[in-house]
Amino acid sequence: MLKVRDLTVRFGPILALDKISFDVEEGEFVSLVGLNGAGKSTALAAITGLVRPVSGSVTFDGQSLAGRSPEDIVRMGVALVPEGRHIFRSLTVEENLHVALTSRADKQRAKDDVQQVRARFPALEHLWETPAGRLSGGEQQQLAIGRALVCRPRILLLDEPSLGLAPKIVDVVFALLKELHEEGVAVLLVEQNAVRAVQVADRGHVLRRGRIVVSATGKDLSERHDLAELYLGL
Amino acid sequence: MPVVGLISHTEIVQSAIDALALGSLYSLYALGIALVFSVMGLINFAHGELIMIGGFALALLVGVMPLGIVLVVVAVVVVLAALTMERVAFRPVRGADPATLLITSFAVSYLLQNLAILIFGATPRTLSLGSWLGGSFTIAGNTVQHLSVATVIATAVLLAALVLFLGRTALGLRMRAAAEDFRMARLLGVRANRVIATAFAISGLLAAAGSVFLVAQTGTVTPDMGLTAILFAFMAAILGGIGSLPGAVAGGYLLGITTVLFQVWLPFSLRPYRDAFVFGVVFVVLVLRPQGLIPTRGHIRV
Repeated sequence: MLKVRDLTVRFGPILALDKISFDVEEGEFVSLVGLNGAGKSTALAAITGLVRPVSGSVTFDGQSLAGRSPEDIVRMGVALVPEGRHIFRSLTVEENLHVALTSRADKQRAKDDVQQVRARFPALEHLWETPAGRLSGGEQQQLAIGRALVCRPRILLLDEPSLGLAPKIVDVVFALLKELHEEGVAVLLVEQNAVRAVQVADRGHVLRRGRIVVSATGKDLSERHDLAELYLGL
Repeated sequence: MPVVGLISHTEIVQSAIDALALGSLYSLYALGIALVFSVMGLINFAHGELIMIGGFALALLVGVMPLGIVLVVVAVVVVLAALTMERVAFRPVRGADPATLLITSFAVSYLLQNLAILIFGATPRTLSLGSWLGGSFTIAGNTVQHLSVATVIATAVLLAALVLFLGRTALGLRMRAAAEDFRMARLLGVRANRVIATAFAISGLLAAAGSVFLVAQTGTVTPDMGLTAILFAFMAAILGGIGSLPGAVAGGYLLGITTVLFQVWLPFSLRPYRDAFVFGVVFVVLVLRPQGLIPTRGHIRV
C-alpha cells in the first residue's frame, strides 16, 4: 500500500536519509527503530510532504506522493501523529478533534467518528471542553492519536508516541496501537523504545545514520539479543 | 460646571470619547497586522498601503455614487488588493525567514506608494464623506462628534463579528489552529492557501474600515497616508504582543488612550511633541513587558 523507494533527503550538507526503501502493506504494522538522528522522523516528514526528498519515490496505492502538500496527503488516508504531540494548546479537546474534520469530505460520517474517538478514550470524556494545554502528557498523547483517527487514516504514522510518558501510559499507548492494528489500520511506528516497538510489529527496520541496516519480521527482531548493537552500530 | 483638577467635566467626557475613537482606529489597523502575522509570520508593512488604496477608492467614488454603495465598493476593492498582494508578492516567499518576508513587504509598500504617486500625483486630495459624519450632537452639555461615535460602534461591530467568526465557524477554528501550529494544522487537512488568503481578506476588510474613518477624520488622501497609520498600528500590535489578536485590540486602545491623555495633560508648549511622549510610554511598557501585554503561547511558524 505504501511504497518507499530509494528515498534520499538532505538538509544542507547533511545526508539525513540515504536511499531507504521499505513497504507497508494493507493493515500491516511496521516499526522503524534507531537512535536519535538516525533519520526516522525525517522519513515520516518526507512521506507526509513536510520535507522534499532530493531523490527517490513514495507511492500510496500506486499514486505518487511527490510534490503533494501535507493537506492533500492526509486526505488520501495518510495521517501523522508527530513527535511532541503538537496538540493545539489554546483549543479545547473537542476543538482539537474538530480541526481534523477539515480533512474529511463526508462530514456526517466524520462527526460520528469524533463520537467514536470520544468513546474510545474515556480519559478525554470529562476534559471535552478543557483547553488542551491543561491536559497531562498521557492525555495529550491520546488526544493527538484520537485527532489523527478523526482523519480516518488507512495508515497511521506515529513519531515517538511513548516519549516522555510514564510507563503506565506507555502501556496504554501500545495497547491502543495494537487495538488499531487489529481493526485493520496499517501502522508505521517510529520509536527509540526499540524493544517494544519491534515486539508489536509485523515487520521492523533498523535505521542507522540514514540507512536501513537490518530488516526482519518483528518477531525475529525482538528475539535478537544484539538489537541494541545493531542500531548503535557496535 | 464641576471642575476636576485643571480640566472640566465636559472635557473629560469628550476626551474619553476621543480616546475610544482613536483607540478603535488603532485597533482596526493593528488587528489586520496581527491576523496576518499570526498565520504567516509576516509583518506586513504594506498593510498601510491597503489603507491608502481605500483612501483613493473613496476619493474617486465619493460623490459619484451614494455613500452606502461607496463603502461596499471600497471594502471590495481593498479586500481584492489584499488578496492580490498575498498571491503575487507573499505566496512565493512563504516559509522564508522573517527578514525576507519583512523586506518583501517593504518592497510592496514602496511599490504601491510610488504607483499611487504615478497615477494620482503627490498632491493631497481633499474630500468630505458627507455632512452628517462631520456633525456633532450634545448630551448633558457634552459635544460629541458623530464621527467618534460611528468609529467606536463600527469597530465594536467588526470586533464582535471577528470574534464570532473565529469562535463559531469551522473556518474560524481552522484559522485559530493554524495560528497556533501551522504545520500541525496542515497535517490535519487545513489548506494553507485558504487560511492565509482568509487572513489577508479579513485584514483588507479591517484596512478598508480603517481608511474610511481616517479619511472622514482628516478629509485628505495622499499616497503616503498609510505610513503614519502603519507606524501606530505596529506599535499597537507589538505593545499587545505581536500575533495576539486580543493583544492587538488592547494595544490599540492603550495607544489611543495614552495619546489623548497627553493631548489633554501636556502643557500647551509641549503638545507638538505629544507623539514623542506616547512613544516613550510604549518604550517603557516594552522594557517592562517585552513579550507584550497579551502574548501568544503558540509557536508561530510556516
